[in-house]
Amino acid sequence: MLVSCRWLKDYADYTISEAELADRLTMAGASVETITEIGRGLERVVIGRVVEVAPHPGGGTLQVCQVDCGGELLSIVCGAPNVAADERVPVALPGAKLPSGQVIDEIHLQGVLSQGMICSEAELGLGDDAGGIMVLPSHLPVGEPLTKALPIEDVVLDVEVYPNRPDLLSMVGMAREVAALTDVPLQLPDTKIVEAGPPIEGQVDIQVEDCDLCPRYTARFLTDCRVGPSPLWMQRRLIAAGMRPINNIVDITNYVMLESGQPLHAFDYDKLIDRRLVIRRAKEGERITTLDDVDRELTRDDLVIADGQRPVCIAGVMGSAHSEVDEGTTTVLLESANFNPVSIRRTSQRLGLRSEASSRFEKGLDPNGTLWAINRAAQLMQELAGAQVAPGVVDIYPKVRLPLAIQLCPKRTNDILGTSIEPGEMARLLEKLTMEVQLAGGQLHVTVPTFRGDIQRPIDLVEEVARLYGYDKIEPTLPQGRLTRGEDTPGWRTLELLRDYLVGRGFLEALTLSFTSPDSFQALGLEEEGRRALTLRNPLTVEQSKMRTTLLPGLLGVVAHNLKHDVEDLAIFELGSVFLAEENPPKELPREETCLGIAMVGRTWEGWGTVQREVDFFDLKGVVEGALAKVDAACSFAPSSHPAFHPGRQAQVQIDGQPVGVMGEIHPQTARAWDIDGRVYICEINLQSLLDRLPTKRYRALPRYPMVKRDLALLVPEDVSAGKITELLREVGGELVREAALFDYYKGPQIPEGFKSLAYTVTFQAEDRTLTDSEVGQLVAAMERELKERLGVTIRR
Amino acid sequence: MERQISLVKDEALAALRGAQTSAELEAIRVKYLGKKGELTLLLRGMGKVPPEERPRLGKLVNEARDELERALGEAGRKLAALEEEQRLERERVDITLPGRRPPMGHKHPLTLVLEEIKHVFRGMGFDVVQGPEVETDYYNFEALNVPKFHPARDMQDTFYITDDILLRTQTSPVQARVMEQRKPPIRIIAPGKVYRRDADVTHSPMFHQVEGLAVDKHITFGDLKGVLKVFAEELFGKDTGMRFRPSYFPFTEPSAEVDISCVMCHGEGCRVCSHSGWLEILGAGMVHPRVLEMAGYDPEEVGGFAFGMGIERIAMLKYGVDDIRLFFENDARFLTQF
Repeated sequence: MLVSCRWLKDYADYTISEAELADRLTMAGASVETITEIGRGLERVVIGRVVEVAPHPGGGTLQVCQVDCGGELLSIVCGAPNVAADERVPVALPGAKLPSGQVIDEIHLQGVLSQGMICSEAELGLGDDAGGIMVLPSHLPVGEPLTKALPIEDVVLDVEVYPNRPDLLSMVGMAREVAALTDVPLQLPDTKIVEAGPPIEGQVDIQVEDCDLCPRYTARFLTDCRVGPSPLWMQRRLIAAGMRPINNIVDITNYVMLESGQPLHAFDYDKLIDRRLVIRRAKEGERITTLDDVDRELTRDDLVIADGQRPVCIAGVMGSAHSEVDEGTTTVLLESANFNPVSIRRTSQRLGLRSEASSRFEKGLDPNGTLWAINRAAQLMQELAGAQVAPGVVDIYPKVRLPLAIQLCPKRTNDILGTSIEPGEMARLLEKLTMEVQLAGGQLHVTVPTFRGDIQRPIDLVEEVARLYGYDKIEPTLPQGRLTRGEDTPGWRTLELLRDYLVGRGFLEALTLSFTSPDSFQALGLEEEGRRALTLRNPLTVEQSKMRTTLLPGLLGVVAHNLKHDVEDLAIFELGSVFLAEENPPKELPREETCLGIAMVGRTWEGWGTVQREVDFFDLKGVVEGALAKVDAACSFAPSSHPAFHPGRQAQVQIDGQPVGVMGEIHPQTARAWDIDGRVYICEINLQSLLDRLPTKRYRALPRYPMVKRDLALLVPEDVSAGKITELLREVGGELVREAALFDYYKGPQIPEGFKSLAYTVTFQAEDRTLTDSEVGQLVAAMERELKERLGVTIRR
Repeated sequence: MERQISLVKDEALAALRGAQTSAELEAIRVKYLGKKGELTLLLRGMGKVPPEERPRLGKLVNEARDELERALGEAGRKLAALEEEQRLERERVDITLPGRRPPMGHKHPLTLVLEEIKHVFRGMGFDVVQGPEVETDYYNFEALNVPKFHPARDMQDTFYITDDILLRTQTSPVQARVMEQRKPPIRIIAPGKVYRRDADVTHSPMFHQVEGLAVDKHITFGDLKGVLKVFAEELFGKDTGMRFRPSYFPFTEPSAEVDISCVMCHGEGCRVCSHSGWLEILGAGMVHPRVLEMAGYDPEEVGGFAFGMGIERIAMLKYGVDDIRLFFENDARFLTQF
């Protein structure tokens, strides 16, 4: 809400500075976002009279004007199309500094001296109109500074008004607040009207069919209106409030809405069919062309004001184009009504149509405010448009809203706030807000004016007390009471261990958006999963219209982003939720499961002087093994066939024999969908099964007897997997085999076709004795024999 | 014989003094003390010496041998020390060559901030709890005193999946869920992702919040101020100023917007704080009696406070990040800075 301080002072003549006022409002819950000074620094802008306009000798659109600014004639070059002789115009003299920062100087424009500048509204910071120069009323004295002749100097506060305080969406409401905060009296303008002519009864027949949606309808009848521009002071105030002046009748309805908070609507009486108005629900499919020239279809849920034939206004939202006041209007039917906030909001949301009126009505207005506003508007129309106001008001108000009486317990108030404010002080604070307060039996009996619809129960009064007392005066304390545990979520330890492990191994933690695109499922070959993935009804973009069921798209996105920015070696991980629904759209909430995603691309890097190499499947596998070992999860790997992965370089990850994820090299086709052309290694593991168990560490006694190591160099047929070999070594060696570690893998010229060379170090150790050479020798011989017989492995010597 | 002993000894000691390397020392040892060494031979020749002379001469030879061995040992140690010194000198490295730093990982800056926040509140007895990101309209709005068509719904632009299922716009629904499940005293924080239809330099359609809730018999607005003061001082430093401004949230009353003194200019006024000296960091208030009632509590018996803060906002202030999108782009050059 834009608040003109010049206007505000009409109702609450505060004496503090605007900066101080802004601070007090902010600290009382009406946060002032910006303070804009208007007309400051315009001392060197004076009122000039254009004496003569001649074309610029250089041709084009420029003109050379002779302007009387109270002294000798100034020659000013002007490009505006609307400059004409005899106009009063604002002239910036040399030395003037305009709000844009431009400093005016005598200059030559295409060879002609220009001794100043004739300004537009926008150039003076007085409005948005930059289409031409500002033409001033002809009675203004030539040569006077603009700011002296016109009420343009102002300070405008941009105040954030919360949705519970529609009463503050008005100058009077704001003034009421300012009066309370600065201890000055509130002065409301009077609404004296001279009624004349035939009464409103007989001129128009008004019926409210739906009193739930329209609790009050007030109307006045005005004749002999002269439609024209509204006076400059009113235009200035409308502009300051962010509205565009149109004509005096419309401007007055807007002005009074800004002043009182009560939206008004003016109908051109002569355009109403049958001289009647019915406030009713729209018929299904009924149409109306609103003021913004859009044809709209209505439903039974919408409230309309209709004449004898058709809707002339969507109640509380916008009028129709065909009943609008224009230059030819002479007779006006003025409406000041109260509408059901939910109905207005529903209609305005469904139509995607918000107006100054609807944004006020939807917050709930005071039905007792209609009469003051309609009288004020009628008064101004009489004064400014020469209107004759017909005697009487149509006022349909079956259920009068009475002020609410609330009992406030001072002790309870202090208990909630942690204060010790005296009951009398509380009463004084509430009275500042024009509430009536009686202190009886230790309780405050408060009568709340109906314009404060937000105050419904004692706690609402507690807030008012606190607000006016000052939040800053409430002492900070720490809570008393029983101790509470301060424990973390069940899975936090597991997640923390994984995160620490990966960060310790050089991985960067990534956080990607939970959205993904429908295309990403296709690119991953997961069309079916994509169909089940939740779809947002109102996404920002198609790319963000699905909820992820896998971390893969996010990880690929991060890899792609970094490769694009020349980060070629990357190791990242993400811990985040995926959203798994049984059906889409869902009937119930989806399962949210925590997953770990890991991605590696590029080379390993140990430092200068060491060998750098491309990361591969086994780098990733090692990290996965290490991470899961860190949380004591027994993991294993099995063949898999995930469509997004290289068919020969992927594995299913299992924990306790149960599948929990997939790892491997991303299929080049998948990678290309993300514009990646190198090899990407990715793993995704669902951690859900690990979250509700605590990792347990158990001590195992240190070995007391020495270990013996033997190396085995094996020539293994291509189709025998390394897993089979270790399995066999362990089987043959039994408990005496501590470890069977691969230390070399080789395929190449020295190895016969169809074979690979594997080399293991087998570590033997017994818990109860020192192993003898011959004992170990026999075991190794047995291993070699079994390898040969069962797997066709040759021993290399 | 006697003369010969002393001659050999002197000769050997002189040779020792001239020795430069451990190889030379070894040659001297072999020449005099080896199996066929000169002193060894003298000792062996004792058989030919008249018996009455043997003890005296034998002693002389033994003494000469001992002396030589001692001298050899000493020269050996000295030489070894010298040689080691020379070796170390040769091994001198250029310490300005870069160190081989093992690859260093980094937690996400939002994780770092969240860890700090959790640490502060767990210290004050707040449990960490979680709630679903895909929520029902009931928990996200209605249980928080925001019925359908309430204008407060405009304060947050919501992503919908169905009429009743949406992406939570705030972590506040966890309040309602926790109150349904637990009995006072309750002290919880609920961190997590939230979603709003908004995207620019300071808004991301997904971001993180931490909700806080304390419900007990004697909780005051002063307690809310005290707890948040501890939080602000722990996160931003002991001299951090704090102010509470009245505000409006449908699920708290009285409600407050909480500002801290600007972390950049310390209240002087700068671009970051729009020259106000203050930065808005969270919303808070006393739990609305209606919310307590909906959870089945009697607002005459228990009361509480609640607060909610954006983690990105705090991280941006703490680290001076000026574009929220950086948090979700995951550029390695960004992530490695934390």
